[in-house]
Amino acid sequence: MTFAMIVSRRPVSGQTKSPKSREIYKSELGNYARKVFGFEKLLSGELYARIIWFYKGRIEGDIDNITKPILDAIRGIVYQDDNIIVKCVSEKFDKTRDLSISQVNISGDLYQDLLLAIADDSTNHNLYIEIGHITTRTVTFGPIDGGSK
Amino acid sequence: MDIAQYLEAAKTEEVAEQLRSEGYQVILDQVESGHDNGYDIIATKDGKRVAIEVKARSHLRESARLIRELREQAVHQGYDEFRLVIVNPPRERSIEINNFENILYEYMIGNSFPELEDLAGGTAIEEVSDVEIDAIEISSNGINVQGTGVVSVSLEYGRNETDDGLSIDYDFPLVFTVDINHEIHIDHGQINIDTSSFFE
Repeated sequence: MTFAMIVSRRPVSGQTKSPKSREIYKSELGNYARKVFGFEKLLSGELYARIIWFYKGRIEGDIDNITKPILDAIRGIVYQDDNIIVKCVSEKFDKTRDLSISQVNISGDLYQDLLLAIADDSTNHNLYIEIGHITTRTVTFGPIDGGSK
Repeated sequence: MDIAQYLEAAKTEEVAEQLRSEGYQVILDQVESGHDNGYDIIATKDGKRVAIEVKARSHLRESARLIRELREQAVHQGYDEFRLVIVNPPRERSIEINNFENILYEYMIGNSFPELEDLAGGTAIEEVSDVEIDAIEISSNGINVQGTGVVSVSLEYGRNETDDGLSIDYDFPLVFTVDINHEIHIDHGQINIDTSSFFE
């Protein structure tokens, strides 16, 4: 079982000086995760998290600061405890630059929603959040995209 | 062909070339028998088969359903990978320096240009136009501006005390790299005027 959702929302940094905006953000993500995941049994075992931030235009915010608020927001809804997430990949992509999407092992509905989110010019931010099970205990080194050694 | 179709065609060629350089055999616009939908690129290497679709982002919304079907078709056909390449138009950049054409003109009329002087007994720079700034470099040494433009010159032949002679107007392209100060005046620079059209 893999959890995935796409939210058209600007991510909030874990370093924000506004606790209120952070709480509103976490509440929004949590509510959306409940709608998507419903009352499925919480994911257990060793998990990975994949967070992709699609944006348009200039942005402020480091990729490493957006991960924790997202995981905090869906903890208790998708999985029980942070310590079972053993791998985390966070990326950001400018929607207005060329992009390749490959090896997509997600449902056709979610894939189509992802394409619509990338195509959507009415929103400057889309967050793709995926939590799934680790299936092989493999550590890899070198270029993350298989680029030149 | 609209802009999006042009972008897709250009990107398809670029991706195909990149794949060839990586050792793939590449086929373009292949429609396999028994299937309605073809892929923009099929790439094969060491037994690995990749189906690739190239789509402009401006066409992505209307094509999302079709692309989903292509992906499902590729899985059904046993391809190892289905890849979607999304292409965007290049970003427009705007670099302007206020009144720069006149600033360049003022600098040029205060300097001599042998390539113009070689063309006629007398030369007069009339105007500098169509200036495009390619780069601005700001450093502790100052501000360097690089770009291109057009200089309109009047070439004068046979002018003397009793005869106005003949005057011919010419436009020549120029390339410049100049250093400007904080008052946006050119301190010094290099301007190369291409007069080769005069001899054609």
